[in-house]
Amino acid sequence: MRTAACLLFGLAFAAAVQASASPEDIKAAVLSNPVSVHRGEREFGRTCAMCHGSGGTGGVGKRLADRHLMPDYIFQTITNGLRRGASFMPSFGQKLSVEVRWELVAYIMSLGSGRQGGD
Amino acid sequence: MNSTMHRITGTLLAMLVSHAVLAKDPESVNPADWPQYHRTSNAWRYSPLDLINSGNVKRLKVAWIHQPGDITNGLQATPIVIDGVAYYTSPYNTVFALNAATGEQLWRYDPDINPIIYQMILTGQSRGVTVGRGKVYIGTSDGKFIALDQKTGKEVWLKQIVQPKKCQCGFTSPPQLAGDILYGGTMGGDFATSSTLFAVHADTGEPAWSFDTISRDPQSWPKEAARHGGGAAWLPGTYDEKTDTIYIGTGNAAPDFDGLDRPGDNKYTATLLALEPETGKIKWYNQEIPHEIWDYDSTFELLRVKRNGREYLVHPSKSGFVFVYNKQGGRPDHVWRMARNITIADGYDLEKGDFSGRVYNHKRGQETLLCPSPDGIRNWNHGAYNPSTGLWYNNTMEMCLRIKPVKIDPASLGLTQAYFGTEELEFVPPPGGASTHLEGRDPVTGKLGWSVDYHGAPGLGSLLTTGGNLVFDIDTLGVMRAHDARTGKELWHFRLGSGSRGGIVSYAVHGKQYILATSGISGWVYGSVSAVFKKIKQTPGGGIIIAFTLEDE
Repeated sequence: MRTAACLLFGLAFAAAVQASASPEDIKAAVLSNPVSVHRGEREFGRTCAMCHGSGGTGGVGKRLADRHLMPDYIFQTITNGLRRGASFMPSFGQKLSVEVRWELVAYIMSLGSGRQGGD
Repeated sequence: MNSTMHRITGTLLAMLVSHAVLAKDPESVNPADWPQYHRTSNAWRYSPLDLINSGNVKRLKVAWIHQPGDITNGLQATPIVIDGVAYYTSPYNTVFALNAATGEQLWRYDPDINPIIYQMILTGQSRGVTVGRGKVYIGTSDGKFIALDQKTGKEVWLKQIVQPKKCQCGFTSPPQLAGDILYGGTMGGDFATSSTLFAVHADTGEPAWSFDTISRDPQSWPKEAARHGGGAAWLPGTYDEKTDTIYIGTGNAAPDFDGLDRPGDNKYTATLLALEPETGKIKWYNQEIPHEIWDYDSTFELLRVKRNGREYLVHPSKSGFVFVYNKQGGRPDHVWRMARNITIADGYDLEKGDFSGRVYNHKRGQETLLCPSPDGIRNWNHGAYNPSTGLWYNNTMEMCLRIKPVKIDPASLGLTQAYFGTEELEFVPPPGGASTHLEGRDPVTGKLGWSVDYHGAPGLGSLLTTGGNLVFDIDTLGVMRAHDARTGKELWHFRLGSGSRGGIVSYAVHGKQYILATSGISGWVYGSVSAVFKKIKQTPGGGIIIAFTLEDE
C-alpha cells in the first residue's frame, strides 16, 4: 500500500519536475518532496553504499551521517567526483539524472548532514 | 672495515651465497634479481640472498627513495629488478626505470589514458610491469596492452584490448609472459559484465587467443545471466615452463550476492584454470566454489611446493579455505581452513567439490552475515614461502560483511555502479571480535608454525621472505617490519608514513643486498577494512618507493 502510494506520488512528481526545466526549480522541487528521501535511499543503496556504507556510516568513502555538509557541495561532489590526495571518487554526472542526484542529496541530508549547516 | 673492502667482501659473499643457494632456488633464477611478479613462477616471493639476515637486520638504513608523483588510490606495484635496474608503475600506469643502486631515474613513460576511467570506481590501480624479451609490458586502466623498449622506455607497440565503457573493465595487473605469449585478464567482475582472458604475441601485440571465463553451457548459466556473469581473472597468472602450463584463477560470479537468477554452477567463476599457452585451451580446471554467491574470488596466486619429492599446488581463496592439489588435473586432495570465523559453510566436501553446510542462494530482503568478508581472510596481497623453514607466510584479517540481497536489473547499471545484488553493505567485526595476524603455516597441511598479532592494523601489502631467515611486511599504519622467519619475532622496524598495497622485493647490485618496498595506501579494500579496524582510518595516503641496505660498518 505504502509502495503504491509512493509510486503514484513519484509519478506525479516526475511529471511536475519535467514540466519545469530550470536546475534551481528541480533542486527546490526535489528537496521539498518527502518522497525524495525514500527514492534517494534506494539509489544510495545500489550506487553509494559500496563505498560510503549503508546509512552513510563510512568505509572506503567518508562517513556521510552526522556531517555538516551543504546540499550544493554534496550535489557538486556527486556530479563531478572528487580527487583529494590518495582518495578518489568517480563522477556520477554522466550516469545519474539531475533529479536522482538531488534525491541522493535529500537522503544524505536526512542522515544528519547539514543538521547544523543548511544552505 | 672501509667501504671498498666491504664491497669487495660483499661481492665475494654474494658469489658464494649465489652458489650456495642455487640448489634451493628451484628455477635457477639469478639470485641477485627479482625478474617477475612473484620472483619465480612457483609464487614463493622468496629471495635466496642472505647478506641481510636475522643477525644484522638491525643495521638496515635507507639507501634511496623515489617518488612517482601520483598517489591516487595508492601504490600497488611489485617492483621488478633485473641487472641492477628497478621497474615499477605508479597509479594510471606511469612506468619508471631506476638505477637500483642509487634510485636515479633512467626513464619514465606516461601513457595517454582515456579520461573515461575517471567515471569508474576501481581505477588507476596498477600492480606493476612484466619484463622480458627486451621489453617492459603493462596492462592499462583503460584497457590496453603496451610494450616498451626495456632500455629506453620508448613505445614498441600498443594495442587496445578492451573498451572500458563497454565492458566496465580495464587492466589492474601486468600481463604475464608464457614463452612468446603475453596474457592477462581484466578487472570488473563486480560489474554487469562477462569477463575474458586475452593473449597476444609478445613481440608484436597481435592477437593470439582469448578465453571467455563465463561458460556458454546452458547447464551452467541461463543465457541472459551469462552476459553479465563476472568471472574476472584480475590478478597475474603464473607460467610453469616445465609443464608448459598457464595457471590463473578467476573471480566471483555476478551479481555477487544474488544468485537466484543464475541457477547452475556458473562456470568458470571461482575456478583454478590450467591453460595451454599457445592456444588458450583448457588443460584442466577445478571450480573451487560452484555457484559462488559471496564474492569469494579464486584469483590468488598458485603456490607450488615439494614435499617428499611430490609437487603440491596450493591455492588460497577469499573464502577462508586453502585448496591443496597433489596432482595435475583433478580435484583438491586436501582443503584446510585459514580463517577462524566462517559462517557460510561448516567445511569443504572433497567428494562433492563444494562447501558443506552452505546455502545455495541467499534470501532476498533478508539481512545476512558473511564471514569472512568478501575482502577475504586474506586479500590479494600475496603470501611468501621460505624453503628453509617450510613455512608460508600470510596476513590474515577476521572480519565480516552484512548484506541484504536484492534483485538488480543489470540494464539499469552504468559505469559507476557495481552489480552486487544487495541493497545493504556494511563491513562489521565477527561476533567474537575482529582480529588480524601475520602467520607462518605449513602450506600443505595448514599447521600453524607461528602467529603474530597485528593489533588491528592488518598488513595489506605482499610479503617478502629471504635466505637471511627473514620475513618483511608492512602494516596499515605504515610500520615496516622484519621478522625472524622461524619464530616470527620482530627484529627491526621502520615507519614509512603510509601503509602499503605493493610488494616488497630483494635484489643485489655490486655485491650489496637491498630490500625495496613501496608505501602509499588507499583504495577500496583499505577503505572497507578501515570500517572494521578503525585505528587505521587516519593513515595518510602517499607514494614512495624506498630501498634499504646495510649501513657500512
